[in-house]
Amino acid sequence: MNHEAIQQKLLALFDGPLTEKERKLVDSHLPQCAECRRAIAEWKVVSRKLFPAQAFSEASEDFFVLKVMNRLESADPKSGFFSRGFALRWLVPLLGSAAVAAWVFFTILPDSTELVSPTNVETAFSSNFSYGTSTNNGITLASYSPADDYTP
Amino acid sequence: MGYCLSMLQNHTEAEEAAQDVFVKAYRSLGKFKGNSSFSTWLYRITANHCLDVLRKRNRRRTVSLDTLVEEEGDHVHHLFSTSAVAASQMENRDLAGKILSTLPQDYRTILTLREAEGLEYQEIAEVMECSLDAVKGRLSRARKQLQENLRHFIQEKDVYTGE
Repeated sequence: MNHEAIQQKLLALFDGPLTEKERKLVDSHLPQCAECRRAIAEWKVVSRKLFPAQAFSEASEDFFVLKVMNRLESADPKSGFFSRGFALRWLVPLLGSAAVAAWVFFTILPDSTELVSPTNVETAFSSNFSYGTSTNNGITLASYSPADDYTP
Repeated sequence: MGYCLSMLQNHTEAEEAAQDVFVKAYRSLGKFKGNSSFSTWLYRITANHCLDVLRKRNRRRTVSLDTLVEEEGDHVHHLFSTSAVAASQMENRDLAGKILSTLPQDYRTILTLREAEGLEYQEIAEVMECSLDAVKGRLSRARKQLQENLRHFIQEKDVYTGE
């Protein structure tokens, strides 16, 4: 394994996934290579400065837990008026019924009203009766008589 | 909370994010199928949430390496200098956040999971939903890029005396 190949593996030393063979190669390379030694030492400094261990006091942890619990209680979806339970129990059936009612009103009802629509009544009436008008002293009177073939 | 702080490098934002994560996790408990460990599942929610926070934050301000060198060069040098007077923990954290924000977000995530949280490769793969080889490659590239970004700020004496 040459210098470049070893450099690729170098920082994995901190993670511990090197095989026994790889570790031996790196260990034998390090004493002869100043650049690799510097790379390792440099990474130790960078890691310590940029990723310091975080320590939290017990009090701050308790306070954090308390805040989370308060948020959960105040924003619990089960306790809201428009919660999921409310939606499933009332809102969904209500909207479903409304949709069915709208469908019945707009789809079925127009077909049944056709039978008694004003146009149909007028057609049926005019085919069985004849209209006539007469004038008496300037007043127009409307009259009608059954058609010839009309039999009551 | 520690992961959020390492990712966001801001105490207020980290605390808020950690609370959001627990609330989200509580509400999504039904979606946890047990295919991975509970902590891995929680890390996945946390990683995604922190990335969302970072994305929103980056819309407001993004730190490029050039900007960092120009504006914070002396401070970064101070951070790694063993002879300089130590800055406050908060100042250091803020600076560390700026340095990490010069990295792509997936590099930042993988470095935080490994370096700050100490997760194994397999756990990182489960959190980031990628293969073991992808974790190894990405982690190696992330470390290399971070070292390259910081090369000019770290002097040889600081490297060896800082051990």
